[in-house]
Order: sequence, then structure tokens, then C-alpha cells
Amino acid sequence: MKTCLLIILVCSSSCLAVHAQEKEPMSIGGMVVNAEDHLPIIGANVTISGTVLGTVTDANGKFIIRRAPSGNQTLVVSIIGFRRKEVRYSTADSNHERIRIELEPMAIQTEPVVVTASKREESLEEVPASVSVIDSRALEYRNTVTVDDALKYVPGVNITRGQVNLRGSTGFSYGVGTRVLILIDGLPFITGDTGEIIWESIPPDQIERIEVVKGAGSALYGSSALGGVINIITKQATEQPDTRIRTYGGMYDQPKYASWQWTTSARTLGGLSLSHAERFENLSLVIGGSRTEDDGYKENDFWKRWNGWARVGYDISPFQSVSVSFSILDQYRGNFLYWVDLDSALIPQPSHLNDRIQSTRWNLSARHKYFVTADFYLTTSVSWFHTHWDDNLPTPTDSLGSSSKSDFITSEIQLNFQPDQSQFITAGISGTYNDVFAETIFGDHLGHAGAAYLQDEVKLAEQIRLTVGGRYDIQTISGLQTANQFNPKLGIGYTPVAGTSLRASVGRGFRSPSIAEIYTNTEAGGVIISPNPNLQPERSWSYEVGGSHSFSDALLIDCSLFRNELWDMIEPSFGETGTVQFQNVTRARITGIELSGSYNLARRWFTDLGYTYVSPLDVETGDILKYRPRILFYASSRILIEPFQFGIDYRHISEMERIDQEFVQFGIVPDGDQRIPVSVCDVRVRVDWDLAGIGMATSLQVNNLFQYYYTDFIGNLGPLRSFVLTLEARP
Amino acid sequence: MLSGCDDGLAPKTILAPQSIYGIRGTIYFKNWPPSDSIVDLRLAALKNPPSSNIFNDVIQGRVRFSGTLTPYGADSISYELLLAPLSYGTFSYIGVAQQFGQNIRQDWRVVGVYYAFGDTTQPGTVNVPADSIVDGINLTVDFQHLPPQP
Repeated sequence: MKTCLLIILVCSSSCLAVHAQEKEPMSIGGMVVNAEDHLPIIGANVTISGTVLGTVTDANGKFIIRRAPSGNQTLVVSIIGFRRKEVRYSTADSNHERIRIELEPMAIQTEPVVVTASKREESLEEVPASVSVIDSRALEYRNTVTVDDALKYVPGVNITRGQVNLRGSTGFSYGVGTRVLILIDGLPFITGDTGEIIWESIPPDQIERIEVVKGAGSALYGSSALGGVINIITKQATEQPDTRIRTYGGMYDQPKYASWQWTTSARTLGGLSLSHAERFENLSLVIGGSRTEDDGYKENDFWKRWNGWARVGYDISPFQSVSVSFSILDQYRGNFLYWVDLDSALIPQPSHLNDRIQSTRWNLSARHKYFVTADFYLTTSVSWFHTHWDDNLPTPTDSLGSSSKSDFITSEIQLNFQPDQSQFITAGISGTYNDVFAETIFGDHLGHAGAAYLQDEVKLAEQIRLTVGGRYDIQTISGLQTANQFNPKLGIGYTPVAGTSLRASVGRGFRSPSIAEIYTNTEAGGVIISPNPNLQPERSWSYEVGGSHSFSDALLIDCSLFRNELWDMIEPSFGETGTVQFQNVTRARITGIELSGSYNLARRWFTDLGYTYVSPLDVETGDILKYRPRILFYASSRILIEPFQFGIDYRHISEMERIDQEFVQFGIVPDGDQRIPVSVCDVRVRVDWDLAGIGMATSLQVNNLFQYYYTDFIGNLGPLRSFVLTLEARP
Repeated sequence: MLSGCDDGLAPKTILAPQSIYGIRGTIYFKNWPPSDSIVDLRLAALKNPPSSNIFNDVIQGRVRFSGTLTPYGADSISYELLLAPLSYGTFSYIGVAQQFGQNIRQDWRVVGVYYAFGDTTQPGTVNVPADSIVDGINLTVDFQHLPPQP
């Protein structure tokens, strides 16, 4: 199977008979400035349309692209906070190395280009779906240690112990399965055995931006994209060398109550990361590594991590590029399952005091992009995600603990074709191979999947865009019946006037259960979890209408109404045998509204607000679905007084109305019903300074400023107040 | 945001004083079965008689359970059961439940019921006032002569 995937990769790239006509290469250069104050814009993306060539403006706003094709070309310039601009030029002009491009400022939250919603670059206002974007500056500004930290303030997103709940799509499933698909540069990044997201495998320093697409995305991405898609776009190297050294250190505050003060030693956290990115002619390199540690504020809740990552890119010609990426995580951590009781809330049950988990996970991926013509390009990619973990948690079948190895390989060939200015076609095929070896906990299993998809975006009129598409998936796991489904989608976008866009979409979604959901056979915290080979895929229809409007480029508001109908929803529950099983338990309906707004005052005071109300109901019983808060409210504000930045973030998450009562009523988790709304405030200050020509930044942040105590899961107190000091240098 | 300025959760021991109310007494045992059939044994109190599906009553929070009783082979044990979070007032069913198999949903049966004033025709009712522990709520568990099942 692996050989087949490689053959597909190689053949698809090299067997094309058609090749773009290459002309004598030239250099293109210039400067990007703010149209209002004429100051240089740093970090703007500059690409030559119809080629793989591109760069980023340097500290003086300048850019240069070597080996550009000669003749008439179009430069596309984009950066968050400015209106995207296309500039036509000719290499016959004498000033093609001194092109001056002026960008108009926009509301700071407007991201000009996203790639996830339609598997191609498009303007955010053209997307017929709700999309939120976090850029690398927001990750740096918040000193993000793991990516899920960065998602805490995205409207509609709630994270419970690493599991993403997007607009009520997911409750809590004990670390297995996800209804939100995570991609890295467009390729799935979920584990082969548990089907979960490993956030700590994704170093924030590697990230250019994160795109969050809400609503069923199965019509393009297949299984797991039932509730939405989160795509992590990694950084590209430019000719301007970019070296970064970042270190941070801090500590958790002591809890206020004596009965919770389980240790007198300081609970510290810290880390060091180094990265370098540089482009040499047609070769680009990104390399980095980090060491991070956290003692944890709870006993036996520590972790220690090594992360490494590298990416090598090579432009074969102005029309072809190839890149290979690698990342690795080695992690050793304790395991805090649940507390003794509320009076000893930071101490685990004695039987779990020595629980340990060791894991190694690496990801190797390769991508080839080929512009056959200026309007037709082909992308071929393959990704291999290997995971291996061991724990010492005794189970009924193995008193020494469990172990699991998995290899999840996915490959895809995608073509994008623009026959004319009013139409854009995206199509592709993909294949997946999944090999799990976990004798005691999941068993040994093989899985295969294949899919084909097609999407057509048509501009019906100057202001109306229609998107029609669908994807057919077929999946099989050894010994089980083959599952297949066709997932269509329909979207429409309407821009009645500049600055206003309306959207409506409907799409079908599905999710095949992970191998862990089908085959887990273990005992955890006094609960026996048994296999369920009869588990079927869950399916959904997702509907959304919404719109956004920007007022004078300073205020942007967005509103969405959404509804998801789900069938055969998979949830862990106590089965007839008295053990916990993953079962197709119910028919569910999730409806809601989401409002978000962004405001900037004189481009110095930035405020973002997000409010989401969700009604996630079990249609059969009328009960609210488990582990879903109804209300999410996020507010962030940042004031820029150079060289300082002051920021405050606040999040309110309403109380989870329904949990697994069995854990409480049978005394498995003492005081397990203790839960209240989450109401947490974080603050930070950052100063940028210069040390002998080296750009430096120092920030101090206080998380959970008011030391508010809440549970983030049954029998688990949320993070205490912590103080973190960060120092960053860019030699 | 203002709610973030209070402390949120706190240990139970420092929460505002709450009314303490409950029952106290002795459970007498006869004819113990093999120990492997006693997977769990608990005292339970309900405001209303249980339904035929005790598991549902438990999940719905209508039952106040004691912790696991571990008197295997003993003739009797003393107990005290605080009844919060159920409200004080009349409790019309107090009994001992045995889990006899591994099925936590189904393998339960009632093995002893509190009868008031020697009237064994119906479960006894106990009125529990606020701030009171009602003493003398004694039960007999005879594993060979089980009471009527709900």
C-alpha cells in the first residue's frame, strides 16, 4: 500500500505530458507601503499569479522575486489588515525591479485570503461559510504554548481537554474521535488509532496562520469534518533570513484555600525554542526545535516535551515546486484522571498517582505543486503520521499498562482549474491507509479509505457566487462492513454593496468511528470500556445563513444562524452490559446563532467580541446533549502604545448542563457534579525593543488574573492563576 | 466579567454553612450469600417510592446513596446518611440495594427495606426536619427473604 501511494505521488507529478512554456527568468522587486501614511508594510505576501513564486516583504517593506517569468504578469499582494491588491506589470518595463505597491488599510480583523473553505486561495468575503482566522502575530502575542490555547478565543469554539467543540458539535469522548478535522497545510493530522488531535505535536513557532471553517466540511474533506475544519498553515521561508530564539518561564500561583495547597514547592513552567528560516535562490529551508516543561498545578499533571520540525522546499521552475516537511514530538507526562474530591481538588485518586504516559509521534509529508498553465495547477501530496505511546495504567488484560502504534498515511491529487474569470473548478482523489498495532487496548487493525471530490464555483453575476460540489467516500476497517457516503454541498454568496457580504450554505457530513471507538477494551478510573464492532458512521446535514458588514473599515460585524441535524450520533455511554461503550445513541439537532464583531480605534485600540448561543438537543429525549455549554462569550482588547502593547482577554462559558451522571451517582468521581460557569480573564503587556541591532520582545502575561476556580471536566479543576515572562530575540 | 471576580468553586469545608439533615440507625444482616455475589451494597433513601427502573432513578438524581457498605459476614452495622442534596422533609422509601453482578445498570435488587412501627405491609415513611439527624431508622436485611421489588 505504501508503495502504491509513492507511485501515485511520483506518477501524478511526472507523467503529465503538458508543460507550461517557460520563458527566460527575470527578477521582480519593489516595495509595499501603507496607502495612508506611506510607511513600509512588513510581512506582506507577494506572489506572482499563475506560478509557485512568492515572497514576503522585509523589515523595510521591500521584496524581490528571482527567476520570475518574463512578459506581462500579475502580482498578488496581501496581508491581514489591508485590502488585497493585484498589480499588473511587464518585465519589459524598466522599473520592474522597483514596483511600488500601496495597500489600503481595512478593519484589522479582515483576513484577505483563506485556503481552507474551497481548497484554494480566495478572498474571505467570497467564502459562503463562517471562517475565523488567527495569524502568527496573535500566537506570539499570547505566548501560545499549544495550538488549542490559541483557539480559546475563536467565536464558537470551546475546547474540553484538547477536544474541539465547534458550535456544539462535540461533547467529550475521552480523547478519542473528533468531529472537527485538523489539517496541516491541507492534509489530515489526526492519529490512526484514536482518531484524535495531538495539539502538542504542532509547534506554534511553525505556524503562519490558523483557519477555522465552521459547519460540515465533508463535501471537500470527508470523514471527521462533520462539525468543521481547522487548517494550520505553516510558515514559508523568504530570502530575508529569519532566526528566532524564544524562551519563557513562569509559575502557577498557590490556590487560595489551604486544603487545596498540596505542595509547598513552586509549580513552574518554561521552555526554549529556536528556529531559522531562509531561502537560497530556489531552495528554502525552515528548521526549528523546542524544549518545554510544565510541572502542572495538579499533582501528577506534569509534562516534558521535545519538538523538532524542518521543511525543505525547492522550486524546480517558476511553475513547479516541491517541498518535504518533518515534525517530531517526544513527550513524557503524568496523568491526572480526576480528583480525590472537592476538598482535595488538586490531588488525584491514590491509585493514579504514578500513572505515566510516554509518547513519540512524527509526521513526514511531501507536496508537489505544478502550474500546467496559468489557469490550471495540480497539487500532489502525501503525509505519513506515526504515533507510538506506552502507559503504565493497569488494565484487566495487562497489569503493566497499554501500548499502541499507528501509521496513518494519506495521499491526495488535487487539480484547480479556472476556465474563465467566472468559474473555478476544484477536483481531486485521495487515499488513506491506516495500520494500528495495539494488542491489549485496541487490537491490531488495518483500515483503508478512498475518496473523489469535485467542486465548481460559478460567478452568476458580478455580485453573486454559487458553489456546488460533492465528495464520495468509501472506508473499510478489517473485519467490518465497508461504509460509504456521498456528501453534497451547495453555497451561495452575495455582495450587494462593497463591505457587505451575505452567505448561505447547506452540506452533508459524516464521520466514521475511529478504531479506538470501535475496539477499545480497557478499564479507566473504575469504568470498564468495552468494544462495539457494530458501531456505524454518524451522519449530518448542516445549514447556515449569515452575513457580514464593515463600517468605515474600523468596525466589522458578522452574524450566523446555523442548524445541524445529526443521525446515529456516536457518544460514549453506559451500555446494557454495564460497561461504557461507544454507541450510535441518538438523533440530535443543534441550532444556534453566532455574533462577532471587531473594532479598531485609530488602529491603536483593537477589540474583538464573539457571542455564540447553541441549543444542542437530543431529538428523541428532548435533553440537552452532554458536555455542551449553551453560551460562549469571548472578548479581547489590545492597545498599542509603541513600543508597548497592553492586552486583556475574557471568556465566559456557561455551565455544562448535562454530564455523565453515572460518574457522580455511583461515586466513581466524588463531587463530580461540582461545576459552574467559566469566567476567566487573562492580561498581558509586551514591549518591543532593540539590543545592539537585534530585535527583541519581552512580554509578561497573567492567566486567570482573578484566580477563578472552575472545573474544565468532571473532577478536574481548571488552570490556576499563572505568571509567564517571555523573551524573544530575532538576531 | 464581574462573575470572574469572585472565587468560583471552593472546598466544601469552607462553603457557607448548610443545613445538615439525615438519618441514623443500624442495619441487621441475616443469611449472607457467597461473597462474590456482593459486588456492591448501599443504603438508599428516596423522597418517593422507586420506579421499576432504579438505575433511572439514580441517574435522575432521585436517590441519595450511602457509600459502599462493607460489613460482609457481620450481624449488624451502624450508619449515618446525610440526605443533601435531596431536600429535607418526608422520605417514603429507605432501603438497602445489592449489586449482584457486573452489570451496573441491571444487576441490582432491594435486599432490605425500612418498615415503621413493625408494619411490614408497606415501606415506612420518615420525616426528616432541617438541621436534624433522625435516629433509630433500623433495617433488617435477610438475603433469603427479600422484600417486594419495586
